Formats: sequence, C-alpha cells, structure tokens
Amino acid sequence: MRYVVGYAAHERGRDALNLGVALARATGAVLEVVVVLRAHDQYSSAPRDNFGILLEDQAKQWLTAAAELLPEDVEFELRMHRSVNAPAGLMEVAATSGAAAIVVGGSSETPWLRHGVGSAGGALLHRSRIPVILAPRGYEPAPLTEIACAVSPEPESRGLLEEAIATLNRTGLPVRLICLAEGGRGEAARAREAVEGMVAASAVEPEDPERLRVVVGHGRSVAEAVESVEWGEGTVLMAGSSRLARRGELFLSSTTAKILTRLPIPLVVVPRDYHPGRGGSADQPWTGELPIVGRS
Amino acid sequence: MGSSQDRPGGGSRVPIHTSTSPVVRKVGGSSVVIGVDSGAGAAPHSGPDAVPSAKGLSVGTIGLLGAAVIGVSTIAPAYTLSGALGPTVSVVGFHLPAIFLVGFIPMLLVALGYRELNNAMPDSGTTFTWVSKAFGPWIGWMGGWGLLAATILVLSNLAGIAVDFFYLLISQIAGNPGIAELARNVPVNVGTCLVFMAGACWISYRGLQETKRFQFSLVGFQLAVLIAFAVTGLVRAANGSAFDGQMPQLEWFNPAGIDSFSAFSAGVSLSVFIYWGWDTVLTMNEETKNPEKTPGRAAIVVIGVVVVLYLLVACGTLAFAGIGDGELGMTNASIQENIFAALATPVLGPLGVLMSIAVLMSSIASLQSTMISPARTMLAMGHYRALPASFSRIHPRFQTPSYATVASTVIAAVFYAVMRFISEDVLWDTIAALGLMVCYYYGLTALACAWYFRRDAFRSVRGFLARFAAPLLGGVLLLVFFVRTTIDSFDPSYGSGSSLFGIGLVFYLGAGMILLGLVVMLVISRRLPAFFREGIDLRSEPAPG
Repeated sequence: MRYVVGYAAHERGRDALNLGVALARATGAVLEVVVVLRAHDQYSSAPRDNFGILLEDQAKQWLTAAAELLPEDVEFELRMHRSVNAPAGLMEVAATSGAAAIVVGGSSETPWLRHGVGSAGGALLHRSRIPVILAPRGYEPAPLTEIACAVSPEPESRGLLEEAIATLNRTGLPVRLICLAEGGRGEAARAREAVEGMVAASAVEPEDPERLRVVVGHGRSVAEAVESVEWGEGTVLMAGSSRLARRGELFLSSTTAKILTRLPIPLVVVPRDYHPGRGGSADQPWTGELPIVGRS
Repeated sequence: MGSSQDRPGGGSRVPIHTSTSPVVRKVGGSSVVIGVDSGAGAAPHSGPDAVPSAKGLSVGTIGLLGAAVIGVSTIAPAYTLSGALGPTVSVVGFHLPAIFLVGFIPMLLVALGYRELNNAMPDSGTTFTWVSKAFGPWIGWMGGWGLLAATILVLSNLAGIAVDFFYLLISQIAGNPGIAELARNVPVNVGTCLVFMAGACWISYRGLQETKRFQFSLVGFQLAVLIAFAVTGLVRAANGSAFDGQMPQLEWFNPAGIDSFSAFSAGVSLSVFIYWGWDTVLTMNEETKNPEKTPGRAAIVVIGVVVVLYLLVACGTLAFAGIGDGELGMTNASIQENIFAALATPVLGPLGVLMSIAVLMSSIASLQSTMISPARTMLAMGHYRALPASFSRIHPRFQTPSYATVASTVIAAVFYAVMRFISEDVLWDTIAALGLMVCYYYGLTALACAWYFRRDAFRSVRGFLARFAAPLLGGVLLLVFFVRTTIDSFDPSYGSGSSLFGIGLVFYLGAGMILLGLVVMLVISRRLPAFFREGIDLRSEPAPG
C-alpha cells in the first residue's frame, strides 16, 4: 500500500510529510512524496524562456531536502509531477500508482485552531475518489494508537459506522465512535442511545467489542462539542462525506467543516459509500491490509 | 512499489521520478526517471480516461492560429501604437509608414539570431546568458542589465498608459470630461499607477496565467477596434470631416524621403520598440503541434498582420490628424505621448469608448506578462550568482520567482513615480529611451550570436545566413542606431523637450541607465567576485536549460 504525500517546501508541506511518516510507521505504507509542478499555460504570453527547466531543478532540490527529513524506517519514493494544478496532479499520481490515500497539509491563512483548508486541500476534499488525510498545523509524528470516527445518530451514518467497525477488525486498533450533539445532557443521552442502537444493529460486528467505545460530546455548537471531547495525540479522526457527494467521491460535509475549526488532530475524510474490501468493493482501505495490532 | 530501497546518506542518491499529467503535454519529452536507480517505480500512465478529475482542464498543443494570436498579444498593438505613433511622427513626419516598414528589417535579422541561440542554449537568462558565454561575464552582465532596464522602462510606460485610459474610460462612461483630466494630476496619477503595478505584481507573484479564451478575445477585440479606427480615419479624410484631412500618398512609404540620418535613426529605434516581442513566436517550438513548421509560419502570419495593421493605422491616423501641432495634430506635444486617448472620440464618436477599453485591456494584460520577463532574468542572474542569491528564490507554493518579481515591481514603481514628478511628458521620454535600450540589448545579443557561432557558421548556407550574417548585420545596425540616437538625445530639445541641467532627459534614461549599470556591476563584482572571475561556463552547476 502507498500514500501520496502532497509536498511543498514550506511548513504545511512538512506537516503533511510528518503525518505521512506517522501513518507509514503504523501501516507499513510506502510514501510517495510528490511535488506538483504547475504546467505553463500554453496560451499565456509569458516569455518562452525555459523557466520550467529551472523550476524542475528547484523541485529536485526541494525533494532531495524532503528525503533528508524522512526517517530511516520509512520507505518512500520521490516524484515530480507536472499538471494543471496541485490537487489535479495529486489525484493523477494517486490514480496511476494506486495509492490508498492522499496526505496534505493545510493552509496557514486561517483563523481555525489547528486546521486550515487551502486551495489544494479544498479541491481534494470535494473531488477525490480516495480518502484525503489532513495534517494539522505543526504536526509532529506520534505513534498511531487509536482511530476515532465521527458519526451522527442518523440512519445515513450507518455505512460509516460499519466501516469504523471494519477498521477495528482490520487493524486491531481501538476505535472510538464520536457523536457530537448540539444541546444539553439530554440531547447527549439520546444521541448515545441512538448510536449504541446502530452499533447493535450493525451488519459488521466488532471482533473485539472491548475496543469499541461510544463517546458523545455536546455543547451549544458543533465547535463546542468538539472541545468537550478528549483528543489523544495518537488519534486520527475519520469522517464521512456529505450527502452532496457523488457515489465514490469525497465532498466535505458542513458538519465536518465545523469540526475542523476546533480539531487538534489529523482528519481522514473518506468518500461516500466507502466500504473497501466489503460488498464487492475493490478499493483499498486507507489503513492498509496489514493488521497493525500491537503497534500502539 | 519499493523501488527506493537505497536510502539517502548511504552514498547513493534517492531517485526522483518525474511524470506528466496525461492531459498536459510536457514540453520537451515524456516521463523520465532521474537518478541512479532508473526505470523501476515509474508507473506507466493509463491514458487520459484514468483521471476523471482532471477532465476539461486539458492543455493541448498550439496550432498556427493560436501561435499567431500569442505573437500578436505579446506585441500588444493597441498599447504600442498609442504610445509610439506620436513620438515617431515627431521625428519622421509623414514618413511614418516608411519607417514602420524599414524598422522591421533589423528586427527580423536579430530575431533569426535569437532563434538560433535559443535552440542552441535554451536558458531563462536569454541575453544575459548568451552574451556571457560569447563575450565573458562583464559584457554579459551589461547585456542582462540592458534587458532589465528595457523591461523596467516598459513597465512604467505601460502602467502610465493604462492610467490615462483608465480615467478616460471612466469619463467616457460617466459622460464627464473632467474625470479624464484626473490623469494629469500627478499625485492621483502616481497613486493609480502604483495600484495597477501592485495588482500586476500580485498576479505574477501568484502565478496566474492568461487563458486561451482571454488571449483570443483580447487580440480579436484589439484588431477590430484598430481597423475600425483606421478605416474611419481614412473615410473622414476623404469626406472632409477630418481634423486635418490628408489623403495617403506614395511618398509616405518612401524611407529615402526622411530628411536626416538622425531622424531616420530615431525613427528606427522607435519602430524597433513597436515590433519588440514579436520574436517570441519563433521560440515556441515545443509547444506547437508541428514544431518544424508552425513557429516559422506563425511568425510570418504575425508579422504580416502586424505590418499591415501598423501601416493601416499609421495612414488612418495621419490622414485624419495630419502632422500639425493644432488641437488634434500629431505633433501637438500635449496629446502625442498617448495619441489614441485624444483621437479615439473625434474619430470614432461615441464608439471611442471601445478604443479606451482596447488599449486599457491591452496595456494591463501586457503589464502583467511583461512583469514576468525581468523577474525571470533576475532569477537566472541570481542562479548564476551574478546577482545576490535571494534573487534566485522560487516560491514553494506559487512556483514563481517571488523575490525577483517584487524587486522588479518596486524598481519600476519608484522609477515611474520619480519620473512623473521630474517630467510632464514622462511617457514620451520613456518610449524614446525604451527604443534605445531595446536597440542596445538586441544589438548586443545579435553580435553574441555571430561571435558564438563564428566557427561552425560556415558549414552551410542556411547556417551562415541565420547564425552569422543576419545577426551580425542586424546587431551592427541596431548598435549604430543606438549610438546615433544616444548622441542626439544629449540635446535638451530631444524627445518631449524635458531636460535636466541642460541635457535632454532621454539621454539620462538611455546612456545614464547604462552608466548606472556599470556602477552597479562594479559594486556587485566586489560582493560576488566568483561570477566575474569564472563566468558561466566554469560553474559546476549545469545551466538551467
């Protein structure tokens, strides 16, 4: 399995690289570190002076410097890819090399706590066909110890909830189903009841029910509810796509966008109807086929 | 998978794979793997259908029409004519069409050499790199300086023309002539100009590019408006409704009728400016559908279109306005530096607003694309350590020469502001100086071509002509015109008649720029002696191109 890491020689690019390292250590994935070179528009009247070759030279230096940042225990490849823009380039590389997920950093220009969706991330989050993993600002590699999954107490969350349980079975990592309720304790209790009911009715059963927990955060807004939940350093949060998404594609839901404003940990957004390896799907799970039990 | 088993630090380099999107044709070749570990891991492309996400963004190759459109757009005929018609008429009078025909010859000769150099040594530094390789680092640096000076001059002129037309357009739309006068208010003018430059800088810094649709509509619109303007001018001259009606005569096309060599030389250096940028078509080989034939044919189409258009507009303008110095006469100093601003409404009536839109769009589009040129030259000079290393910085996100872009904008903005306060007729003088500067650095580049190919130029007739004889002749001609016009510009009445301490302002902008370059070069050679000691060839790093 491999991850495509969208790299650029700045802090947000290094966040993506660090997150790629943490995930690769847990899953044994190969990192494909990609610098996307923007193709010169043929019709622009910029001078025809081989600036592209100079840019390639620079990109090689950036990639060589990125290789220096990567630790010994992670397998990686370096690639420059020329495309119309960064998100298109990353999706092309991912499609060609059969990557299981795309890892990107955020934007610096954002008032949010740790995350920010830049233009590349924004496009990926509304078009990718494979999971997109967002690194928070200033992310430092931490061993992966737990996977959280944001579910709502609505029936359409069932697919994602089942995928969370499948992830537990695949990886052996503890999984927390996180439900964020807007309102007081009463709301929270009702939400818990609903989610627990969905777990009981799930078509996928946890092999180790001990490792599956349901946590309900509540507050006056989604953002407050996010803050009421404890986020461990080794946790990543998995979220589904909006109902607006086309089948098999990503589309960031408004709730997930609200979660991002306060979330301190990496976020994995999976496409709509994401059930890799189940129900006839040939997709690769973003956690890989390897069980990662015991790596915590 | 797993092609990268060898690790950094273990003595072996990590291979870097390169690939190109199936919808973007990479200039100059297909996917390659760079590094020691060739072959493995470079996954094959599975065709355009594999990437649904990028559909509709296809960037194909360019055909003849597209290449011709790009060529015309780099010349920006609406802007160029508006700035250059007046100053040229003031030196050659009715022989304007003749000088437009003659001025093209040295340009063609030099462009041939330009193409040969670009094929032999493609490089972002163009003139700087080529002249350095032919004549050593000192002359090479001065060649690069000439290119930088010319582009900085044109940036300030472009922005100035854009400001005039911006207020003219608003006044035409609002029906209030007073607004157009705002462009004469120096603080307002400088302030607006700085805003335009900052905008163009921002666009270049972010790496935003014109699209096919934009180029086609801009060029089509400019051509339509200019033809309408010229034809209406001729019709008005014929039916007597012109300001100073003159019917075109054959004598207008006779270069021998120009009074003096000084006038001839000044005229040629101005017409070099109006064709400036045309040669860009010749260097777009790999972007075109048929690299063998398209660029050459496109160059011919462009030059055909441009020469016919220039002659038509020259005749139309002369026929309508004459060369008197009356209210709308072409030698009236107050309208000369931006002639279409004064003539658009008298000629086209209420449709004059279209001319304002055409020139404004053409100069703003040109402002943005011209800004890229000095930035890339500075980048290349920084790369070869002929300028401080910060100039070679490439922005990791926007992938543009960020530092050099900001630097060239700041220099052009300061230059414009200072000039605007010194001289009323700054646009005129910058155009005159610009012609000089283009003569200087094109001439130098052409001589570099002849010198660089001096040994293998005699192997074939074609090689001899394109690599040696044509550039040598073109280079010598341009440098002769440069020297002659520089000497003439010493006269305080030269150009717009602005002078400083009894010496014509154009002299400061031409010869003064070169002297300033010598001083800067001496300072830089103290700080960065390696480049001036070793030049380009001896650097360990391969040329970026």
